[in-house]
Amino acid sequence: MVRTRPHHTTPARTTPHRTASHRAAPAAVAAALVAALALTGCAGPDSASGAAPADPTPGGTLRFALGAPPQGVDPQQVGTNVSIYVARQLADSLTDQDPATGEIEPWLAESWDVSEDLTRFTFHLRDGVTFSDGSPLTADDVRASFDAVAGELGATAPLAASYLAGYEKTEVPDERTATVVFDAPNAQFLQATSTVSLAILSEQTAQADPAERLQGDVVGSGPFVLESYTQDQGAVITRREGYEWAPESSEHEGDAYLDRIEFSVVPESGVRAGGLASDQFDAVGDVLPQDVPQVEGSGGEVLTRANPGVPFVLQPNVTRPPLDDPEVRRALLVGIDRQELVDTVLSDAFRPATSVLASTTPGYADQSDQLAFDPDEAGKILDDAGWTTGPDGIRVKDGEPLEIEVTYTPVFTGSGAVLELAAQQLRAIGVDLLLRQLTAAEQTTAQESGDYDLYYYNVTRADADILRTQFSTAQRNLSLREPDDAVDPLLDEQLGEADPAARDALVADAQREILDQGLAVPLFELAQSIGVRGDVHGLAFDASSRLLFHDAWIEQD
Amino acid sequence: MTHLLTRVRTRALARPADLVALAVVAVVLAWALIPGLFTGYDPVTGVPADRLRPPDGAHWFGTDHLGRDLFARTVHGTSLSVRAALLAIVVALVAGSGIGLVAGFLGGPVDDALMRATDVLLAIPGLLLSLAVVTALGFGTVKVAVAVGIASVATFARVMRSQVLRVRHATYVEAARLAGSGRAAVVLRHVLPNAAGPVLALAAVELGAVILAVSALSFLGYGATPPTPEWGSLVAEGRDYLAVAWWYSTLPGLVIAFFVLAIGVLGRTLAREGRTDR
Repeated sequence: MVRTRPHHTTPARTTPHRTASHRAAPAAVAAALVAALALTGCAGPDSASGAAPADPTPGGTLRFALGAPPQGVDPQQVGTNVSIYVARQLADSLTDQDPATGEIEPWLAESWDVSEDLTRFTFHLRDGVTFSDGSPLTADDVRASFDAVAGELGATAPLAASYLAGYEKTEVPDERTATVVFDAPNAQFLQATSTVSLAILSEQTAQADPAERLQGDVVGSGPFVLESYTQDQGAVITRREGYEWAPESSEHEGDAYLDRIEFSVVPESGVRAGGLASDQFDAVGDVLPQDVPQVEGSGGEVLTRANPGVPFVLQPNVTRPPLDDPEVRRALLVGIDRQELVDTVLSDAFRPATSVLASTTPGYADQSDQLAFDPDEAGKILDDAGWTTGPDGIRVKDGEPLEIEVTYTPVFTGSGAVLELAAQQLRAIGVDLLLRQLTAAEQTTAQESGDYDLYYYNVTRADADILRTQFSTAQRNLSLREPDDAVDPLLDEQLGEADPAARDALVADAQREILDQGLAVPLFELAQSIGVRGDVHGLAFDASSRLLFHDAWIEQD
Repeated sequence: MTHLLTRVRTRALARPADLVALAVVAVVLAWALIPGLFTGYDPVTGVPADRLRPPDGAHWFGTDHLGRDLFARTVHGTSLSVRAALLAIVVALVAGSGIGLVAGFLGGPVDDALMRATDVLLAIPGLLLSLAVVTALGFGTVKVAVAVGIASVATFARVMRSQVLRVRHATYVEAARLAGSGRAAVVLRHVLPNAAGPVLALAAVELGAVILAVSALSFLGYGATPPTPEWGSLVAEGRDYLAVAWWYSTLPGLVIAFFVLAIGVLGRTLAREGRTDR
C-alpha cells in the first residue's frame, strides 16, 4: 500500500483572501494577514473594478443568467456546463482538485490509500459531515452513490458511469471507510472522485427515480440546497446553515456568504449583457466578444478560464460516406483555419485547438503541426483521393457531391456562428458542410441510432482519460469504428499506468494516433466567460472551470 | 394579377399610396426572381476581417458577424421568404375554399360538422397553431409554409362558405339545376366563380400576415438551416448584436415591414374594389 495522505499546509495562493483559513494556526493567520495586506496594497486580482473590495459581507441574492437551459439538477447525471453551475453547489465530492496546481486534495475524504496495482482505492471520510436533510454522510452513502452510477443510473449518467468503468464493488469496513474495488487498474479514478459527476449523494437519493432526480429529488451535502427548479426556466438555490467542510482550495470555511442564488435562462447573449448593465442580473454566463464592452462599461468585469478535456471537435461517423474515406477526414483537419474561428466569433479567452485534448488538460501534447491551416494541402489531398471540383465549386466523386452534415445542439452560445464560419472555410476547399441543429433530446436519438456524419461536441475533464471515454471502441465511440491495434491499446494502457511520466507518453501517442486517423477534427478550446457586476466578488472556478459560489459575495449597503 | 394591375392603374392618380405600394412590391418580387441583378456579393460567403461593418457605400445594409453583406443576404433571402408565403396562401386558399364550398353548398349535417371543426381551429391563436404543426412536421421552409397555411385555413373556409350561401339560391343557380346540370357542374361553373371574388381579396390581405407569420417562425429557428438566408432568421441572428450593430436586425426588419405594409395597402384596395363591384 502506498500511503498518499496529502499534507495540509497551505501552499502559495493566487488571491489575497485564500490564505485566511480558520484551520490555520495563529502564526499562520498573522502571516496570512501580512500577505493579504501586502497583496491588497498592490491591487490583487479581485480589485479589477477599481477600489479594493472590503471584507466579505454575508447576505443578499445573486441573480445569474444562464446561456442555455440546464438538463436538470442531479450532479451525477448532468454534463453541460450550465447544469453543473447549479448542480455543483448542491453536493460535495470525495476529493477536490486544486484549480491552480491540478493536485488532488481532501474534501469529504480526509485521506486515501491507493493499492500499487491501482485497483483498490480506500477513502477515509471526514467526521461530522451531514446531508441537507440532517442525516450524517457515511461510507454507506458512498457505496450507494457508486453502486447506483455503476448500475441502473449509468444509462442516464454516461459521464459518471465512464469514470466507474470496471467497478466491482465498494467495501464498507466501518462507517467512515469506503474501499472502491475495480477489476482492472484505474489510473483516472482518483481525479474522477473530485468531479461533480461522482459527487456523493444520500443513500435515499441513490434509490430515487433518475427522472425525478433530474427534476430536483436530490439530497447532497453542498453549501446550498435546492429551493425550486423549473425546466427550461431556471432554478433557485438557498444557503445551507452549518456547512463546515469546504475544501482547502476554498477561500473561507463555514457557510456560504450568499443567502440565495436565482438562476434564470436567457439564451440571447446580448440580452444577458444588457441585463447585467441594467442591474437585472448580478452575473451572466457565456459572455461573447461583442458583449464585453457593455459588461466592462457598466463597471463589471469578465472572468475567464479555459476548460480542460476534449475541446470542441467534429467527430466523424466513419461508417458513412464520404467520411469513411480517411483522406477526406485528413483534408478536414488542415482545411479549417482555427485562428480565424477564434478571432472572428469568439473572444481572447478562447484558444484554437492544438490537439484532441485542450491545452489545460494534464497530459496534453501539442499536435499543432498536424492541424496547421493549409487549404492548398487540403485541396491536394482531396484531388489525390479522386474528389474533383464540380460546377458549383463543391467537389464530386462518382457522381456524389462532397456533402457532410454536422449535427449539433446549441449548448454553447457561439456554436452556430463557429460552425457557419467553418462551413464557409470548408466551402473554399470544395466541401459542403451542412448544419443540422437539434434539440438535446433529438441529438440523443441521433447518437443512439448513429444518424449523423459529424458530431459536434466537447467534454470537460481535467484528466487525459477523457480520451479513452470518448474514443475507445469499448466506450462512447461516436466514430462507430471497429476495434483496432493502434488507438485502443494506447487508451487502455494509460489507464493501468501508475507512473505519471509514462502515462503522459502513452497519452501523447494516443493524441497523435487519433489525429493521424482523422477520428476528430478539433476546432477550439472552450473557455468559461462569466460577466459579473462590480459589486460581486469571490466567484471562483473549480479545476474543471465550472463555477463555485461558496466564496461569492455581494457588497451590502 | 393583371386584373389587379388594371384596377390599380385606373385609380393610381386618386390613390398615390397604391402606386408606392406597387413599386415596393415590384422591387421585392424582382429581388425574389433575379437576386443577382441587385447585388454582386455572395450571400453565404463573407470576409471575416470585414465583420460587423456599419452600412456604407460598399455594404448598403452593413455586414454581419461573419463579414457577409447583409443587403445580399436580404435580397437572396427574399425568394425563400416570399415563396414560403405564397405556398402558405395557396395551402390556405385551396384547403379553406374547398371546405367552405362543400359546407356551404351541401349544408345540413355536413355544414355543421365542417364549421364546428373550423371553430376549433379559430379558437387556437394562429401562430400557436403553426408552432404546433411545425413541431410535428419538422424544421424547414416548406414545412413552415404548410404550417402557416394550415393556421389560415379556417378564415378562408368561413369567407368561402358565406359567399356560397349567398349565391347558392340565386336564380341562375336554380335555373342551371332545373336545366339538368349535375351538382359538380353547378358548383364549378356557377357557384365557385361567383363566390371567389371576396376570397381572392382575402388572400391578398392575408398575404401580409402570412409573411409575418413565416418570418416569425423562421425567427424562432424553425425555418431554413443556416447559412441559408431568410428574412426572419436574419432578424433573429442580429439579436445577439443589437447593442453593437443596430443595422443587423433593423434593416432586414424594415424590409419585412415595408413589404408587409405595401401588400396590405394593395390588398385593401382590391377588397374595396371587390365591394364596389357588387
